[in-house]
Amino acid sequence: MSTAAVSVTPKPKSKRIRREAILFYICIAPFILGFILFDLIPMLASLGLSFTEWNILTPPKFIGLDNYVTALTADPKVLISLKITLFYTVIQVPLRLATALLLAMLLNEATKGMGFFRTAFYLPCIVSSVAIAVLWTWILNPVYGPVNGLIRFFGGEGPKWFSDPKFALWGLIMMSPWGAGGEMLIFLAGLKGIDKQLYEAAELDGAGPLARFFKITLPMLSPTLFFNLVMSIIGSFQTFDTAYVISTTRAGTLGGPANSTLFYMLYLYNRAFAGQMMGYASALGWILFIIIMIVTLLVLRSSDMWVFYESERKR
Amino acid sequence: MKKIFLVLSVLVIAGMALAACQAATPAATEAPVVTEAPAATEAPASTEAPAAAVSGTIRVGSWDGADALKPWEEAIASFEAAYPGVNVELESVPQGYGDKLLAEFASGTAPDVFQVGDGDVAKFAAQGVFEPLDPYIAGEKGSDPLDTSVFVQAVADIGKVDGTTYLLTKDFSPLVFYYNKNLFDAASVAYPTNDWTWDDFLTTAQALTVKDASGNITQWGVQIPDGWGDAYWSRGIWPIIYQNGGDVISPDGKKASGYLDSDETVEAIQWYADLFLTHKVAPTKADVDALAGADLLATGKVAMLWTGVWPLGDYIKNTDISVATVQLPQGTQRGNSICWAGFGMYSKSENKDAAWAFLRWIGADEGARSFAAYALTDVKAIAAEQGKTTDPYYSSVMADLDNVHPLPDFSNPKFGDCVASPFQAALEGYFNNGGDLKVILTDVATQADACLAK
Repeated sequence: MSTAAVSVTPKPKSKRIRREAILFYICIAPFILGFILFDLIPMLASLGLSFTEWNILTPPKFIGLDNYVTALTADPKVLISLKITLFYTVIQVPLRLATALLLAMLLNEATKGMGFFRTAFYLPCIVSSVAIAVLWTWILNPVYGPVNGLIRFFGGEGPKWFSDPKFALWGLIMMSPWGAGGEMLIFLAGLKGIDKQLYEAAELDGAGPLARFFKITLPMLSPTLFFNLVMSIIGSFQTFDTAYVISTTRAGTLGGPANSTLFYMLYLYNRAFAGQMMGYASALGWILFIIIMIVTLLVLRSSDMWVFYESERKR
Repeated sequence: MKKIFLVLSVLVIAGMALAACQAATPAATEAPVVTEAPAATEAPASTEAPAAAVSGTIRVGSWDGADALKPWEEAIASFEAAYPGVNVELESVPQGYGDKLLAEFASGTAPDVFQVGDGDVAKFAAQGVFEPLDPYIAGEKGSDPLDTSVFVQAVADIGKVDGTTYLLTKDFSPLVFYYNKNLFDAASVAYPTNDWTWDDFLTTAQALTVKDASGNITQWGVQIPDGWGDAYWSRGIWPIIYQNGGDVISPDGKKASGYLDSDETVEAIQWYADLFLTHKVAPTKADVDALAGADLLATGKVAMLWTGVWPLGDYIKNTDISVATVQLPQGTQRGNSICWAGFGMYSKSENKDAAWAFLRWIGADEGARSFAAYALTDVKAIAAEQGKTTDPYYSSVMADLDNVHPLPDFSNPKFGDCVASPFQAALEGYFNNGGDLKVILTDVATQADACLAK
């Protein structure tokens, strides 16, 4: 559109804006529709259901806050599953982010084969989590698995991993860094955005690799780290698929052995279907929503102390 | 994208078995029992031509998959030939069947005819998803009537709740005791006999447990209570409790206290746990997991196996082993449990006439013959034709049917969630951490009482 037209009359401009607006709505319609139909409406429905007793087959019965009261005061498994989920999150998230950062830094330094390695490290992210879970039951198989094979090579005897309540959760934690490709890509983008001059200047001033990492890379990368941290925490609280597949493989019990991998979402699922308590499960879902909300807000609050935004400093 | 994977994975992998015995079906490697091909003689239930002209399409739901679909395909083909106006659509959901069925009940779109595990009968009946079949059986709906005296009464009764018939029997199995004669011969141990006792069983299992020079077990005496490595599979453990004169719930289904924590029950569970923990004659779940799902009897890793009838057909055909069956050992008395699956009609079906015609066909008529060729049937005429009561492999299985205890799941719709699941969790806890079984089971029973009363 020519500037002349704009200066003469505002009409075409508004027309253009309107056309752009329509295009905008058309473009985001699939997402908005999907969000409303498959997220918002089910969420509102589950909020309503959380105040009812509903066994799926007979109509829901309104019981007020009973579900919430039971979950928070009278159901020990809620606490057990929350503890497991929290423990997993506290160990798994830093491990995963450290792995992702390390890989990203290696890739950032790479001069050759970067495309190959980037793809290779990201590959586990595009494989179905179910396939990954099945794969790991083999990697950690006590008799045939390569991990215990390695331990045996050095004369030890490895644990029974997913069959042993003391090790099953650690098995799941070990799996986690394997899927760090997504975070790695985001870190890589963040690393590429750091001005090379900063490193050159620091090097001239005699800063070693460690100093450069802590004084330049980490602060400059902190917004990226912050984003990854928030997303990983949320994802970690919602852990379901791998734990579901691994604990139920070969007729094991959901969250087994001995409830050692009973993640909050597994327990929610168990209440919903095995217990046919959809109302209660909905309440559990909203309790988790609130917990995630609080944790996310805490992280957001803390960001003032450690996240460095270049734009803010310039202001 | 992740969500799609998640949904797919939930549908595809490792479904939660709602019914206790559904846990048995995922072992899809165990091909159903095949005896001899059924002779296509006259139909056992009735030979009259269909009275009501039925037509339309009906949907049929089953958790069977792979090889287990063969009888379905045969039965549907023969039905469609006899009732040309009806089109039957089979919906096979081998994993997560129970969850899918629940979702379909919620949206009113469940199949017209569907397979139900014994553990769900009482629960579903209480919630009104089954169409009562008695009017159809009596021919009151203009339907072909059904003479129910063709069934083995005790088995057919599992499809009834409070006197109302909701389901026709698909197939059933008691717990079966298998042994591999080759390993007995190698160790010069006498074969078990139908009147053997717990003590005989333990001695035999000990004699057949083999260790290598460094003390690792290379062959276990017995795999129990199932062939897939779940040491806490309650249905397979109940017979031991019954054999010691114990029980798990009161006959009225209201109390577990005094039953699940009785001295007889505690003693039985202790005896069972000792097989793994003290005598170490049975592989634990971890042992079986480590062997990655291999069939331990077929591969000579165990000498004896306690599980359902499902793998028998394969074992008979397997030339690597020389399998035989024997009745379960007796404690203070005999006792066995049963796994049962039935066919039901959806109460909101829009084509109930066609659904009944199909139900009748697969439950009692020619279609039942297709299922009977792969499993145990409750249609007397077909069972007699198959000669299973005199068959060397099946006779002990059939004889033990007399010792089958009524299913506890029928005494209360909440049995699974309130008693069986907590019992399994407690047993797993005992296996891992030890403790006092009497205290543990008393605790489970007390909590079960509160749960059942809710």
